[in-house]
Amino acid sequence: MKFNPKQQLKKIFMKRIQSAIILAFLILAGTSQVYAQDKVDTNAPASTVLRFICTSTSDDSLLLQGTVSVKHDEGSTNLANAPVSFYSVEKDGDSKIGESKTDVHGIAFLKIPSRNKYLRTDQQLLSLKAKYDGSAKYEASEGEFGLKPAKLKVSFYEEDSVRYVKVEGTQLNADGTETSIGAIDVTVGVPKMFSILKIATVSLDSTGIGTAEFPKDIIGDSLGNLTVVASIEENDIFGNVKGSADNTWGLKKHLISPDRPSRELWTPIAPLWMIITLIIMLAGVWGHYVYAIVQLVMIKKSSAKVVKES
Amino acid sequence: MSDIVGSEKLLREFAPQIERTGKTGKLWIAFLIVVICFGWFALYWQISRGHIVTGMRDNVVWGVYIVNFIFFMGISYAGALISGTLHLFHAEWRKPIIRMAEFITIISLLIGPCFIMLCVGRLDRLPNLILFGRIQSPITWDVIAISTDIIGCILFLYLALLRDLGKLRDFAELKVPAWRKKLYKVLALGYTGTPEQQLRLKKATDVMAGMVIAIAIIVYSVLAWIFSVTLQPGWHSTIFGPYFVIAAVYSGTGVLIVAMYFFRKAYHLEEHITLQHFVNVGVIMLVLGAFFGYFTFSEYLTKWYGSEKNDEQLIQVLLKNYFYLFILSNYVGVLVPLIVVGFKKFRTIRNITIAAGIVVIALWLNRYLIVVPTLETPYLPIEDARETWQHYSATWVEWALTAAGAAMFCLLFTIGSKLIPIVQVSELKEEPIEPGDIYLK
Repeated sequence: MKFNPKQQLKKIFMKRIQSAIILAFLILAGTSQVYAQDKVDTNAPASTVLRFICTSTSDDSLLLQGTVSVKHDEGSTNLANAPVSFYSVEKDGDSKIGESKTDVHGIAFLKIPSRNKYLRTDQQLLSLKAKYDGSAKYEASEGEFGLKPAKLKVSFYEEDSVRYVKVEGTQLNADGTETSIGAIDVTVGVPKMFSILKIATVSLDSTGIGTAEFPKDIIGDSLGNLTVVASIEENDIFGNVKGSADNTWGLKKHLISPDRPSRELWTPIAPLWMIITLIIMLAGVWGHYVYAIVQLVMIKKSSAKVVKES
Repeated sequence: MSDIVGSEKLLREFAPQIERTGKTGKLWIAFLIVVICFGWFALYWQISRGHIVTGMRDNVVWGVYIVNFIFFMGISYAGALISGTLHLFHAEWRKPIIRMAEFITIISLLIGPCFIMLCVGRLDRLPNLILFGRIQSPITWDVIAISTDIIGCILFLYLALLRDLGKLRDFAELKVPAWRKKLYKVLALGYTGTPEQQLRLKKATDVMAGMVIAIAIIVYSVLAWIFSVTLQPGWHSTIFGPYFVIAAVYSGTGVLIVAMYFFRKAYHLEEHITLQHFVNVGVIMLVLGAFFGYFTFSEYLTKWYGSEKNDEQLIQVLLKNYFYLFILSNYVGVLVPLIVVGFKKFRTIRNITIAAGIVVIALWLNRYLIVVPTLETPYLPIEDARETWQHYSATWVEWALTAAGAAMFCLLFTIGSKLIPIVQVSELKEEPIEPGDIYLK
């Protein structure tokens, strides 16, 4: 083979350029931030967290809720189908209340009566514990919660054409008697799609009663039905307390307001101009496609004619 | 009716490329298949383990899949625009390269939407796009537009192929299996080049050339509107439609030049694809590069000058975390083609190809810089977001599937060139010579 120095030089030059491009790309690609997924020892059991809360409800019950989640580098994921045991923590040791499994959201529920046999602490509190025993894959975890059972009663009344919401709070003593809750703020709200819409804060007086004016512009369902929720949250003594009642004082909701045109960006039916524009465009484009296809069909037909004539 | 000048000679010249595949060609195809298989493995990995194996998280919900989608759709529209425009303007020099532009269009259109599927977590819900699609949604516009575009481009390519199919059918010396002969016969629709057939084919091709240009502009604008109708810093821009269209054609021109270079080498097309072709396409690339630079400058200048809080944050992120990518994408990607094609002494086939390669890389990065940094700087930060959620880094799964997409593009291109001559045989160096020939009218 004949040696051509010019060609050889060209080849070397090309190789150098190729190498330079690859090198430049690798350097540039390498300088962008890299956040590799941290390696995890898959054999070690994953650590879990049990979040335990108790809520006194208006039907004289205590709702125990234990949420089990698995911790990993990117946050935590709730653990479904995990058995959670609930205990009463007493001087002589833990007394088991019951057991339940977590649902798809990782929450295990158990409802017990407010008037129960479990012993209280010196501060008249029920001391409760939720425990997840763990498995080969997940570590055990537990959470504690102390509360004094209480109850919130919600009612409504109207005076001089002004509507009021009335909240009455009582606490359940260890001896079974009920006394009023005094000097505490209660949040009153209406459940909406994502959260509870706060409508008032009611301060309970020494008799455990508080009132607030009910707003006129709360939207209810199509009949104006509303559920009003009164709640005390994360109180040092009472924990979480919830009470609710229904009324018909809401504004009647229309799925599509008669004042507004029904064809909007967010309505099920598109605005007319959009439909017309789309039809015109599609008809224009597909009309031309059909024309081209017809020409192809005619070409095919004409070829058959030529064959016949020949 | 005129006899086709030199068509037999041309077919004889291009016959080897469709009759057999050499050792290098087989190795090339095997390599591409290996890359695609690795991509399938990555896809299995992703489906079996979920999207957690990708770098996409709550903040950055789009990554290289969307970048690839925009990129492939972009080069497909470029192919349509180039082939349609050159056809309508009867640019004679287009003939050796127009088939490549058409192949680029169809193949990219088939690959691009696959990357969208890779983004979808619940593929079983995909039919809902059709069943419950709302006209108000830009995603529905995109589904309608892309499906319409695919059909239009296939029709346009078929019309462009018809004459060659007729020639392949009639070329007795062609040594291909019987099924391929039959395929050519069926697809040729009995086209023999009678005046009536020529006239009908010309009418249909002219109409479809106009249509593919219009659809390409509309479809890529729709794709741009998916971003610009979203309230995100860097996306909510009125010029995104034309900016995307220009960027698409610019990157597509780059891909076309690279394809011209490799096919010229592989199939020894030096006689047909000359320096002049590279310069002509290079000049188109230069003009588009200037427009692209103008749009990019306009986009960032107004954001920087406006000093709106989130836009400012975005620019800071771009210039801090993505500095080199930003420079390569928006400076190198614009200036290199301008210098290489703009100065006559730099205009060599190799230089233009290298510049085109840089354009392709720069425009891919441009799409990356449009998608990722914006998602890293949202208007509403997510509460309790971990560090790894706030920043994006593609994983091996995403790179493997990206490589598989590129390999599939090359494989389909190679297979296409094995079925049909990569250069348009029927029109190459032919001019109708008889007075009755419709092309003389």
